[in-house]
Amino acid sequence: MRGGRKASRFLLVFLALYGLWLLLVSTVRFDELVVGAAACLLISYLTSAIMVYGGVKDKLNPVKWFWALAYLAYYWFYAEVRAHLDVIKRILNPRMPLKPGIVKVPYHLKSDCGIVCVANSITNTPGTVTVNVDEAERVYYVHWIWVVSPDPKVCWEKISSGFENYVRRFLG
Amino acid sequence: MSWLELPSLALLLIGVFCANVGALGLLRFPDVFVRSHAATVSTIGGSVVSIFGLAIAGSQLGAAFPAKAILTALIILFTSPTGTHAILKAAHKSRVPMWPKTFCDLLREEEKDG
Repeated sequence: MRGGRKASRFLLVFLALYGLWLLLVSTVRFDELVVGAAACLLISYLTSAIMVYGGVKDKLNPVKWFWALAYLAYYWFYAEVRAHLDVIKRILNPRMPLKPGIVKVPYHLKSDCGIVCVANSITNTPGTVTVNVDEAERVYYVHWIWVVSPDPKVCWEKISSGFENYVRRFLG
Repeated sequence: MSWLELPSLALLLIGVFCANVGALGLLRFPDVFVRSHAATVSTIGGSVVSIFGLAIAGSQLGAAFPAKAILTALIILFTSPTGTHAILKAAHKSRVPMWPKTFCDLLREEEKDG
């Protein structure tokens, strides 16, 4: 059983790396294919124990992929656009409306990967930046350019509820 | 001139606009913490969107060009928030003065209580 899991991990890392290599060289010359395979075999032998986070089954689950893609669409076409427009308006406004502050935003995720994903999403949208994470209290400390209210519940709704609802479904 | 040039040109123009506005914000905003928001406008709206535009423009040259471009964009997307986070955490820890009109700082209050 353990051997099987190891082998499937190895295969997953190898296929991902080899796919990337094929994209980058984008030829089917024999020597390129052989060198790439050798390099990918060596790298996946050395790193497959730490490269796969969680189970291999998770990575092949189409439902999770669907939510990951839905998250990407939401992130790029709604969250990013709205946040950019908001901050650009503040920069170009002659009176520069600012009400900055550091607020607490609770999170309801279990996996480290999910916590990092949401924290990075918050930082990558202009207007909100994660300054610190308190794992004991399960909160992010977020610097917000326009503090509507310091109440954690309101902050969660305004800042991270959109991200969390998607990330929870594919990273947990 | 191919029809692919239109979306790539649009994305590049958005990128140029965001990069310039971000630079302006970096000058206008009052302290490190607020300035980081303007810096995010430059990195995400400026660099990443321009690189996506470049990926579309270069897709006529084969699959390798957009693959490399998107890989670059992904690396920026993962590393830039880490850098911003490290800078702000260091700034907050070393007590870089915040703008006097700052509304609230729950992280500092937490440190006082604890």
